[in-house]
Amino acid sequence: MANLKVSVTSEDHIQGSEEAAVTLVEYGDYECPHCGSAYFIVKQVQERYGDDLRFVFRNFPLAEIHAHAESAAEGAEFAGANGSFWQMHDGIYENQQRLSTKLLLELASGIGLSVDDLREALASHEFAPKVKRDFLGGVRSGVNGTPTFFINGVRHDGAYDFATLTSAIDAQLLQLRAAS
Amino acid sequence: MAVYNEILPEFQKYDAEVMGISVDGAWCHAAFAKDRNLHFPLLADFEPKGEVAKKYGAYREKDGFCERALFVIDRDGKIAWSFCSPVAVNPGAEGILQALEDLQSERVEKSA
Repeated sequence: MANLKVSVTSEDHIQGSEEAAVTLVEYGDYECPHCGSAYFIVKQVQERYGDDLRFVFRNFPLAEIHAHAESAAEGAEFAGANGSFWQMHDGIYENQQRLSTKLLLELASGIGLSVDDLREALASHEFAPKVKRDFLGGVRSGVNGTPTFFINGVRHDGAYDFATLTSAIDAQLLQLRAAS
Repeated sequence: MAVYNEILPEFQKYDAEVMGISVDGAWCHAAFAKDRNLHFPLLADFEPKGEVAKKYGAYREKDGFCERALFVIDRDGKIAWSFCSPVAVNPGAEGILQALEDLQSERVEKSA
């Protein structure tokens, strides 16, 4: 069984309460179509659990097969450094079929970020080290493709459709309640 | 494969080379490698089918294809570590990196 080796810290992009019983960590690639479908499923899962669930997104761009995955990850990190990570993250997945540098710049402008700064950050790969850190941490945790989910630190090897993900989370909640 | 392809520099840090092997033919491998932009060789255990896989105990006689098995082979040609994953589960790279790390520290200890 593969376990998350890098614990969740304030360096991470986090949605939901720190007190949440369950933490769902996703290693994702912005150009990966499976991550594109998982995006909408995670939204439903978050809605279902509310304060019981904390969601964390980490970068795992498969740049050899997805030409725009790395720049999208760096672009989202740029937005994160400017306090708008989730708007960029959501914007990319909601427009995944037209992912390009142009889209990243357009999204940045829509969020109110400086398009020039983003262009510069992408050209200089300012956020590449952060993306790489996420990636290597993922590799050491047993990330084997995208998306890979961890539920309270344990890799979820099942499918990521709504029913399978929620039953795995339910099982985790039951276990925690039984223990307390 | 996609993960291994991305982390080739990590394997190279340990002076390790990655090779994939399956019972598919060379043309099939070439097409796959091209589609996935793979930067490491794929070997065809095609004729006689599965001969190499059988030697590693990694051939599924009933199915006619290989196990999802990993082998780390040391400098002397000995299997230093192996892992057989359920067919539906991609084993990832963590076990391999750990095995390479262990091999390296063994070497350092011996030479100390």
